[in-house]
Amino acid sequence: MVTTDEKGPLTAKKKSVIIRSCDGDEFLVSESAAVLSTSLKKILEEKEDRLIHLSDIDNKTLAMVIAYLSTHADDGLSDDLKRSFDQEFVSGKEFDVLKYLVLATDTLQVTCLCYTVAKKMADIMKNKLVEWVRREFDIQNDYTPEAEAEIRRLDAWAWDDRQLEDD
Amino acid sequence: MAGSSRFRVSWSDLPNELLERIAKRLETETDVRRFRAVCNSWRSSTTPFKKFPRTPLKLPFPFAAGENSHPKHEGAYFSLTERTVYRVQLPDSKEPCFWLVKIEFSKDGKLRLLNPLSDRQIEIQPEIQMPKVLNTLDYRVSEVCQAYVLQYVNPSKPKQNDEYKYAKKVVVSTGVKNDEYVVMAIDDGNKLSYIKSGDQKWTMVPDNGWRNKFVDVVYVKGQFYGIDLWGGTWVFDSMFERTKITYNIYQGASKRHLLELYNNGELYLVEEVTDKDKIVCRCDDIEIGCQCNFSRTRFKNTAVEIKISRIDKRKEEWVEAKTVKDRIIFVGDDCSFSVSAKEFEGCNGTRVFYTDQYIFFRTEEEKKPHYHDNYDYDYDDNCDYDYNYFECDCCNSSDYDSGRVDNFVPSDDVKLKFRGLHGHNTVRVIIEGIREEISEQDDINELIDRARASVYPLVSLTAATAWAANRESVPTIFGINPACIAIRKPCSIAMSSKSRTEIDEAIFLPKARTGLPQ
Repeated sequence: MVTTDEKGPLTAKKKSVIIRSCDGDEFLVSESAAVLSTSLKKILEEKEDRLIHLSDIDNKTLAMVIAYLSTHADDGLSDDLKRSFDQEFVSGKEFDVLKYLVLATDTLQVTCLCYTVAKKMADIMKNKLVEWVRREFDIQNDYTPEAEAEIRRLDAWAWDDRQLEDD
Repeated sequence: MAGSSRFRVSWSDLPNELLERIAKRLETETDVRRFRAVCNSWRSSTTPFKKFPRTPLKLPFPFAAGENSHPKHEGAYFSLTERTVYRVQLPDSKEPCFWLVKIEFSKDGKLRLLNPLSDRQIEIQPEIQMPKVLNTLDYRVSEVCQAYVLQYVNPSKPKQNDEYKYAKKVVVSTGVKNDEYVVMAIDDGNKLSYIKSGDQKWTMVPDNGWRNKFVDVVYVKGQFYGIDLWGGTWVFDSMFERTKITYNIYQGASKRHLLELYNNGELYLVEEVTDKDKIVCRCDDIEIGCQCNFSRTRFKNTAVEIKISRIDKRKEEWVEAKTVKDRIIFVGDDCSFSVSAKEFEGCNGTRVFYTDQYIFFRTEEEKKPHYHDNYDYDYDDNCDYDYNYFECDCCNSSDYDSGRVDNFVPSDDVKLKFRGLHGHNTVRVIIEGIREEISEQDDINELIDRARASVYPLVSLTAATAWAANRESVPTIFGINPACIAIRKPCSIAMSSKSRTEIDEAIFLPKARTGLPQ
C-alpha cells in the first residue's frame, strides 16, 4: 500500500521519501513533512536513500504521525488551524493508541506532537484517583505494602489539632 | 496490532523521559503526587512538583521604613504562607458530591482548615468525630485556587492574634522563571507595595501623581491588576508602572473584588453594595472620594446587592455583566475564585459567596489603643457581641458600635429554622435543610446553641453541616458544599426595609434541593 499526501502536479515536483512501517506498509511523504521529525531529518542527511524503514512503528501509528507531519508542513494552513488540528488529532483516541503515538514521537523525535500527546495524557489523568489510573491504564500496583504505607503517609492531610489542645 | 516488541510495552514500562514529559504537563501538586503514587516506575522517573516561591518564605517587615517602627516589632518579619482551596469529592458519595475546603500548610506539615473566604480557622467541635488524617489518595481532590497571606511573625511574641492584619491582600506571580517571584501586597493602609526575589525591602508602586489606595489586587495570566478605592482599575507592567484601564465608579460599594471568571484572562468585578452605599454622600469629591469616613458608616450594614461587572474595553469602564451564567463565585478576603455551578447538584444560575466586612472583634477595653497603631493586645474572639468593634475594609474608617451588625428581623418561620445563625453575617450563608435533617426539636436547639457560641456563623454552620452529616454516617469533611448553601442572587433589587424579609426568605433553597446527605 502506498499512500500519498501529494495533492497535484504542483506539489508532485517536490522531493519525497518513502517510509515503511514495521508491518511493511509504505507511505509516500514529502521531504518537507519528513524533516519535521528530527530523526528522519538525520537519516535523510546521512544517506541518499529515499526509503526509510522504521522497525518499531506499526502502520496505523505511522499513518497518524504522517498525517500530523503533513498538516504541519503545509504552509497554506494558518497556525490557528494547525492548533485546532492538534486538538482534534488527540481527542477521542484510545489510551493504547496514545501510547503508541507517544512512543512513535519519541522514536521519530517529533517534539511538538510529543508535547501534544503528553499534554493529552496529563489531561486524562487530571483529578483522577490513583486506582482509576491503575485500572484504566492496566498498571499493576508494584509497591510493597511498606512503600505504599509510606506514600500514603506523605500524601495525607494531617489536621493541626493544636487548636483543640490549646483550648 | 503492532508487531514489534516495543508496542507491547505496558504503561508502567514507558521510557523515563516520556513519563517525565507527561508528569511535567500536570499542573498541580495534587496531580503530580497522585501520578507518582501509581507505581514504582512512575515515581522513580519523576520528581515532586516544584513550586516557586517555596513557602513559607521569609519577607521583610514592615512595608515601608518608619511604619510600624515601634520597638515591639524588633526582629519581626513576614512569613509568606500559602493556602489552597481544594474541591474534594467523597468516595462513592451520594450528594453532596463536592466540598470546598481551604487549607493552610503550616511549617510543621500540619494543616489548618480555614473559612474559604477569610483567615479564620474553622473551629472543630471536639464532639465531632473528625478523622485525624485524611488521605488525599482516597478522594478525588483538585486544586481550585491558590491564596497567599503575609503572616506577621515576631520571635519575641510567639503567640500573636493579629498576625494577618498587616496585609489585606497578597498575590504572587507564578510561572515566571523558575526561582523568581514577585509578591504584591495591599497593606493595612490600602497602599500597594511589591517585592521581587532578591529584593531586601518592599517598594511602593510608583504613584505618578495618582494616589496609592487599593482595595484589591490580582494576578491573572501573567499580569498584575489592581482596583483602587474609587473603582479605577489598573494594570501593572514589569516595572510596576500602572496604566488605567477603567474609569472610576461613582457608586459606592463596601467591597470590591476582582477575579477571572472563565480562565480566559477577562477580569470581572464583584461589588457588595450596602444600604448606605446607595445614599449619595454629600462630601463625595469626584477626584478624591469620600472624606467624611465617620459619617458614612456603611460598613455596619450587610450587603443588599451584589453587582457583577465586566470591562467594556471601548468605553474603558465597568458595565454590569448580564451574561454570567452558572458560576458559583467566591469573593473572599484572601482570594476570589469561581467554580462551575453544574458540578453542584441543585445549584442553578449564578451564586455569590462573600464576606460582609473585615471585622475585628475586641473587648471594650481593647478598643481604646486602636488609633495609636497598637494592636499588641490579646483580644478574645469569643467576646460578647455587645463589645464588637468593626473596622471598614474599604474606606479605612472605623466606628465604635455597640449595636448589632445586622438589624434584620426574620419572619417567624425563618427564625425557627435559622435563629442564631443569621445575626452577624461574616459570610451570608444559610444552610437549608438542617431542620429537615434533624427531627427532634432538641437537636435544633443544640445546633442553635452551638451556632450562638461561635462568633462566626460560617464556622458553626460548617461544623453543623459536618455534624449533621456525621449523624448519617457520611465521612466527615469540613468545608463548604455550595449545594448546601443558599445565597442571595446577584440581582439588582433595591431593598426597602419592608421587603427585606421577603427577599431573605426567597434566597433559601427549596427543600428538595438541599443536597445534604440523605
